[in-house]
Amino acid sequence: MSAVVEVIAAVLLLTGSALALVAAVGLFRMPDTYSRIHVATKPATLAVVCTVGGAMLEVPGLSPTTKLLLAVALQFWTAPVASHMIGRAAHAANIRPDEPFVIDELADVESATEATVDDA
Amino acid sequence: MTGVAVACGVMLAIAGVLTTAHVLRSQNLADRAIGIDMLVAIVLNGLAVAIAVTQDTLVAALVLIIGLLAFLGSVTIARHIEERGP
Repeated sequence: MSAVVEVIAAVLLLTGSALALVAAVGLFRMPDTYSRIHVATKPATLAVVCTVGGAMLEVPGLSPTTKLLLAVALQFWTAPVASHMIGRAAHAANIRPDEPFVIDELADVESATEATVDDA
Repeated sequence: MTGVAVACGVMLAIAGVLTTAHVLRSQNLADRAIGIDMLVAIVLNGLAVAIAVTQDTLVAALVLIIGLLAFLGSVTIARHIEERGP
């Protein structure tokens, strides 16, 4: 039984590390800022879940396992929010992708805020 | 387990070097923020591997704290870019 758990933990650790490596290569392969945001969010969630899950299987006791579980939950809540904030900031700072947007829903938001600023 | 740890360490080290190179060569602040965000994710992965290998349960709290700090840092940089430009 413990040998099986050991193997599962090893596979999870290796998967997470490999995902981080693939994402680092993706930073160089992707053409513009927005696709790089897409690449960089993957290790922040899936790879961390894999490696921390592997660590949870290896570590004895309830207290560290709870802490690690909380860390995973926190990462799942915060990583997409942080990436979304950076993407929105990039849009506000007039960074544009290589090919034009198919749908640009933030265009209305920005012109609306500019209008209110002009009124004031 | 040692072999697994070495393999994970090598992969994470290469990932860290590549990400640092991206941070150094990128043209705007948003790209750098992405790179630093990912560097933190790689550090989290490394800490998890270290926990699994050394069974050091104190490091579990570090994973929690660094994850929170990374979020606060990213949001702060994003607000800064929105107000001041890239």
